[in-house]
Amino acid sequence: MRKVNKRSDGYCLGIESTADDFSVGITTFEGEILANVISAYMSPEGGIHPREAARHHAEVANTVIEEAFKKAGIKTKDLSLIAFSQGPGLGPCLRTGATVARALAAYLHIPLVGVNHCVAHIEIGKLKTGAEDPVTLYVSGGNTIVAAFDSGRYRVFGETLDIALGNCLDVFAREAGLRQKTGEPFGAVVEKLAKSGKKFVSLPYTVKGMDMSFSGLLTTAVNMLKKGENKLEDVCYSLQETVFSMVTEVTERALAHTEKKEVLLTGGVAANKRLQSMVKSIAEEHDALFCVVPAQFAVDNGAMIAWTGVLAFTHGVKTSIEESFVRLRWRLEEVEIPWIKKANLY
Amino acid sequence: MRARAILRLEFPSEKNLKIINVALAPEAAKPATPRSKVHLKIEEPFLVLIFDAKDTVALRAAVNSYLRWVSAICNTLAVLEAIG
Repeated sequence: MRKVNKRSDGYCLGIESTADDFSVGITTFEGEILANVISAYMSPEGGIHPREAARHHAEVANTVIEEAFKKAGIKTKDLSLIAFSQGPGLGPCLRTGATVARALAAYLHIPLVGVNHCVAHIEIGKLKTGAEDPVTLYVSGGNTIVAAFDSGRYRVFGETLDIALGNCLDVFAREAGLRQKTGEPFGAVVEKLAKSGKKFVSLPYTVKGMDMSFSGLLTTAVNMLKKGENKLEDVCYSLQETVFSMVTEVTERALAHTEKKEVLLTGGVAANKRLQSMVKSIAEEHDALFCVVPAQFAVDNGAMIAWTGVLAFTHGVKTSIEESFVRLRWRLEEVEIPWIKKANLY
Repeated sequence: MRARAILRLEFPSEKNLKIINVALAPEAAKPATPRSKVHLKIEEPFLVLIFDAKDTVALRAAVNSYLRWVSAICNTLAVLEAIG
């Protein structure tokens, strides 16, 4: 196996394939992102069909990898490490990314490291914003988590009890018959309409302890729309105000409890300006710095997997190919984070 | 009705044969579903995949998955060789 210089001269290729995106990122061991190529599976109708998404991933894997190498301007021999999203996620999609990652590691005779997708969203947020020890609000189509680091792991302070916030917005948009442009998330469509909304209509606000539930208010919002008593823009506005207030409340409580001095907003829904303004306001009330991941790294991406792979590998984490099974329900707090314990410096 | 299928796949090189076997082995070791299982073995120059399933629907799903992975790996290895 090729010898790896762990702090310099190394490049890591990361593969992300937990859901509808197949993405390949290439980073240096110092955190410079050289490539971040994303190919999104677009369902002709309805949500993500796991097998169809996996078929898409298998079909585009070679071209996405090729484009990433071109953008990075490196050769295969320059790679020192392969990282892949090991979970949590959709089984068929994860398995496709994992088999390609194993083949790359075996072909190049370099180490493999399995990365937790949720940890990767936090780490890319920290890398791109400079946050060091934040309370994180991670909101996407698959996850809604409020987390902060303590005693060697990211601890979950609050999370959804049913569907994720991004999923709530997506399903509402589909039920409302909204259309999206290629590459545009449904959340952005709802956000545009919400800006024209003027009348707030009451929707179920469900925070139980530190956890949240979105399915009831989704049903109410859809039914409200079908009855035709309210304008679409007003329902979009009310839906956003309600769900964002819920996650902001839980984030504020975690911030008050931990007394941390940074709040990080990450995940696909982090691109929403209204959510950003709400989270920023609670950060300021607690004298904490508000940090939001740039839009290109808010969505699922290979760069976050590559960078987290570097962090893990340089702190002794490796995954043998034989043991590189995907982990569909790999929870955030199950992952040990040795790179923070060691002086919080990368 | 139990169902079985045996695929014998030949690859352009022994190296590719071994890489594909290694990449697929964890999936065969931990099947996604109890409805089917796959046994892999090398009989040079072939990779032999033996599928056993509880019914033909599960058999087809397993065969499709493995063929898709094999195709993705072959295409990726070709790209890697071209990049150099």
